[in-house]
Amino acid sequence: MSILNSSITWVSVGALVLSMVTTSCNRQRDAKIRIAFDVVWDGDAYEVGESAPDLQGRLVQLERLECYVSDFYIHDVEEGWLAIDTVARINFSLDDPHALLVVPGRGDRSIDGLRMGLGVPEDRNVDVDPASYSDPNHPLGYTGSAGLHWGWAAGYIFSVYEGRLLTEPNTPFTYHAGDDKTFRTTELMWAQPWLLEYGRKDHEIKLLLDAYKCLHGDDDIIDPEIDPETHTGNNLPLAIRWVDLYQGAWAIQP
Amino acid sequence: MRVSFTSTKVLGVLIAGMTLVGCDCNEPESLWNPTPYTLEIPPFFPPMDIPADNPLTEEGVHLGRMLFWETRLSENNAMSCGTCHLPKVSFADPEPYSTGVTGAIGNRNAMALINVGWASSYFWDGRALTLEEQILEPVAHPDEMNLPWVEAVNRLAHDETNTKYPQRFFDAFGTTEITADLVSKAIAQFVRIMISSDSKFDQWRRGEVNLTDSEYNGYQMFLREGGDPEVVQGGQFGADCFHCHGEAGLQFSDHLFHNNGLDSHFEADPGRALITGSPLDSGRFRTPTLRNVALSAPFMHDGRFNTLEEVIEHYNTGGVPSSTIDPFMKYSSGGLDLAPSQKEDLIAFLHTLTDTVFTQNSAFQNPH
Repeated sequence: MSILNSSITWVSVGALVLSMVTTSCNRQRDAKIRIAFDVVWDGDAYEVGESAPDLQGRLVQLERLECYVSDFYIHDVEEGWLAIDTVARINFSLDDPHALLVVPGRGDRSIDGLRMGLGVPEDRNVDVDPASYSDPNHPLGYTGSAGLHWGWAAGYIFSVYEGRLLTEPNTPFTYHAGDDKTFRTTELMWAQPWLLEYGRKDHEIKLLLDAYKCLHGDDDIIDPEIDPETHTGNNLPLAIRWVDLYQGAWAIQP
Repeated sequence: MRVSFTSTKVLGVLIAGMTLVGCDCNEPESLWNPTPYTLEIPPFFPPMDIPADNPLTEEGVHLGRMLFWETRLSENNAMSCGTCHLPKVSFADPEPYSTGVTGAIGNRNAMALINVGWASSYFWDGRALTLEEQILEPVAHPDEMNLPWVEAVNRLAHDETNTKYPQRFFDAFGTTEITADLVSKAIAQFVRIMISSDSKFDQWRRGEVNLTDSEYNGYQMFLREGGDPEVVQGGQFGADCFHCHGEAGLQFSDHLFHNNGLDSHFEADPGRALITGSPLDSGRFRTPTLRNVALSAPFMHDGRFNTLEEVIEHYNTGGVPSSTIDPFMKYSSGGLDLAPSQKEDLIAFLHTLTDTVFTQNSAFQNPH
């Protein structure tokens, strides 16, 4: 009886309820951006597994195209770059590969740029055992990273670009980038700013990876017959050439 | 400070209401009280992803063990899961293909049941995504135990004298109604606790023992890129095992599907392509763990290799070219080209993954 009689108690209960409502409101006010990923070949629609010609007219068949993306930033026209802590594993062979960004709610924003890390941030890479994640399905956890990890002392594989030239006999190639030296950031700007609405959850943008450009750049071309393989540690120069091309192969779909 | 007697009454009614809602008057709740099973995750192992609808319980694990070894789940009452998954060979089959109750012979080697709670798909082609799903198949398969599930559950339901299955199902799942789903759930619980973590390699990883020079050299071979750098770009004279048999979480499998160059054509067994329908998956099979590999011969999906020496020699020569051979294979450059002493070291390392504490664990043996 004494408890219920106390006005302090009632005030406390009221404050608790108010605080729960407020917290809940804040959560709802976060804006979400869904980033859909797609792959193209020299600007044309393409799916992993299909064959398409390279610069020399040889058919290239990609069989595995996967990557980690992380360390996102969006560019607010007024406030500048805003960091968003997300790591996602993108497998271009699966339906609807995507990443989700949660932007804390502080009113509508005018957005005109996106930065994206290509790989796993240094502080979560080497010497981090996927087994240490309590959720094995986390993108960096044991199950979530299956096939994209070299061992706890060597870290994660940032990107995998595998396939074969359909020569006779065929010529398999493998470009695996990892190691902090191959972490890259790509920066993409929209021609016109767009409105990120306070509390809205269904913003969607689309990023395109041009797999052709991962072999063909303005200043460098990788020929899989000459340079068929890097796992970074065994051929760092080729890994760096490849990630430099890969970094320039991204675009925002208008 | 007026009381709020009304408020007190409201509160009382609320509490009473909640109590009533929480009580299921039709089910004597106190009778079913399963004991949660405490699964100890060994050092450096990842958490196990256990389905929310099939938590481990002492009663469920025990029932699963009985069912795993239950011969009445086969048409002729002579075969259990343990018939093809023998403890002494790491719960695998020492024959290339298992023989079913009708005399029919399968077309793939029975995989070792070891740390399968960490797998992300099951069977060589990954056609089952959960253990529960996988376990449903062999009982009814005509080339294996050949017993329709209706008959299987009927046998269990009417066997009250010795095994007391209806009571055991109640203890594990709160119902005496036996179903195929509950049988598979119980067996899945049992198989999930079949954990190997006491090999010499585990002990070394925990700092309890040292590896011999040969074992350590073999481990380094395991971790290095394959090939002579003069021939293979980036070659490190290693054995290149780690790409597919990755040591993350100490499970020695990437859980993916690879064509490791066994055949040039795949009409006999298309492997993963049978499930996905994609020609890119022809000849691809799930990477098995290397734990207890020295005990679980024969090797490969069809059991074609009888010894570790044969397996090493296969990789040493680079495999057979095909339209889907894995880029990791070194067929075009003549293989790994390992020296005899390197092969010996590699095999010495593979033996460090042997865990007889696991194979002899009394908790996994036939309870009948």
